[in-house]
Amino acid sequence: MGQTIAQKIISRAAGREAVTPGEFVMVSPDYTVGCELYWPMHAKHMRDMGVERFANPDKVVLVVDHTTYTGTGTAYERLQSDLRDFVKRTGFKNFFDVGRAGLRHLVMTERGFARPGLFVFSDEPNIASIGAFGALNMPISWEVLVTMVTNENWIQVPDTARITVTGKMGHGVYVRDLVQAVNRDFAATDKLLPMCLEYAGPGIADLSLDNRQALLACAYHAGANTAIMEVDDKALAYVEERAKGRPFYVYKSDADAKFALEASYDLSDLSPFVTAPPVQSNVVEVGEVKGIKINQATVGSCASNRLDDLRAAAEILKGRQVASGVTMYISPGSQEIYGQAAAEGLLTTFTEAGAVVMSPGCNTCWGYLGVLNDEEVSISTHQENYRGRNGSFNAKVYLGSPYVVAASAVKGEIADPREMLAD
Amino acid sequence: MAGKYRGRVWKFGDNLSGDDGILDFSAVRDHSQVFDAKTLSKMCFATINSKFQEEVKQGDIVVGGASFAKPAHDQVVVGIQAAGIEAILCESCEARFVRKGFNIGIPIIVCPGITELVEQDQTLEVDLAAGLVTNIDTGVTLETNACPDRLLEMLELGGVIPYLAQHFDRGDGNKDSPPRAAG
Repeated sequence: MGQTIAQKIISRAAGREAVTPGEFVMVSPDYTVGCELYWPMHAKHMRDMGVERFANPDKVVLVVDHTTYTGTGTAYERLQSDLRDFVKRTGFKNFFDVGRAGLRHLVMTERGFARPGLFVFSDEPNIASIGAFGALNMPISWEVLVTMVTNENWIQVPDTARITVTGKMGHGVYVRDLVQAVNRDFAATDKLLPMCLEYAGPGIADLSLDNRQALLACAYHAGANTAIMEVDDKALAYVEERAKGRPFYVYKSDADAKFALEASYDLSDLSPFVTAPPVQSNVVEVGEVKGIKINQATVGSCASNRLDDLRAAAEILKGRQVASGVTMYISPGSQEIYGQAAAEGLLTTFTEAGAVVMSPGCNTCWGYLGVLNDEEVSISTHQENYRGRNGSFNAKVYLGSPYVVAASAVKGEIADPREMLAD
Repeated sequence: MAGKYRGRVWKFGDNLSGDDGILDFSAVRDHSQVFDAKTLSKMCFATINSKFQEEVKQGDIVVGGASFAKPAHDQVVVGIQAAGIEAILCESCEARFVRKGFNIGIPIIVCPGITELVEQDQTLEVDLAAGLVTNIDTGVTLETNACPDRLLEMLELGGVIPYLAQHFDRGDGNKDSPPRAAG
């Protein structure tokens, strides 16, 4: 029986010829990536175990991304300083602090950690975005500490589902609309639990690397545990530039590999969608919610904080103003993207439009910035739309593409971006 | 006996969110401290079943539907365990959620058919090593996957940290070198 990409990566990490979905195997990851939020817990657990350092520090990546602002009323400054103390004490190298990094999803790709065929344990399913470069994210939780100190852990080999994408996106349609179509069909079901979702097809080949990452970063909401895709020349060129000689292994799913589920989407069938609160499956065409007044619009989160996302927002905002009464926050995904956005003039477009550009970080998506009051409404490119995530339990969070969010910011109400985009 | 549980069932439906259902996100956002299990325990299921907080007893069992507790940050299972629940069975859930339970010493078992097998307030018996789940009230038994030995031992020791500490101590005894997990 043939193997899928995920099975091949797991086989390599397990030192095996092949693995079968459902079986329990021990794997040694190429990297374990974590963030600062868990640091107090990691420190406690290391004390409990009597361990003072990581088994193989070069295989661990730690990033400050959720709490880049240590605001009044948070306890984040203590958390950050404790982590910095550890880094200093142990000489730990792969630490990416505020101002040096961005979201760990992007740190992994920009710094060449995410390379084809590598197995990565992380503390978040959205880091599946690294699958755009052929690396397999296996999300766990604070349990990342286990592989940090032992360099191995068990997993149950997941089934793979395959979604084949064809066609080309129409006017005003964005990769987020594909995400939303998949969520509409799968988020209220458990069909993709706990699978690896493999995206394939000519529609994927046409997507930019930024958009591929965005697509995989959202696979979790459709139910998948992780996600991946084949790497093509475009992805390999990016990897080779950043790998700096570090090894990687290009895998493709075998022709006779078994997929537990198959589905297909034609990009030309999509139109701009909006996900209405409070669940991911509440996906409607933008026309159905058009006109709903908003208080806040945000572009950011690991779903939409790469350069193409900022360009899309800027395409709408150029020469326009954010509506009176609407606050707009924009969070670039990394220092690198922040710098590129500045060089391209995107930041000027945003500031002239009246938007607030934050420093790279999870920021508004983590819910501690841009907090919503009772009955307030936001539209965002965030990952989540459940009650209470962005402040009040009674606030409403709609989700959409950077086009939809920017168009809504300008109109002061949920709006169809096609009316503002040049043909 | 390791891996054996018997208790009153608290039954919940499909698509019950962990972060906006079992708990709410206010419990999650402040990750800055090691979890306050007692506070979390007082929150869990409070808005879903008003009887839960009043009547839950140590050793009770939670039975969930499809996509149980998705999404759930780590606080969710910490809260459920601290409320007294000793085992969770559900139709389906995230792979990650299963790990979050075993890591702190509470088994989470994906067991298709569990919602048909048992009703609220009935008594359930679970034998993880044998892979058997029995409704004591009806006498009907459901077979499920047997739990791997490593996970049973983790449960017995109270989670992955004591498990690793134990295996480390059985090794070279040098607290300065990292522990090796047993395969």
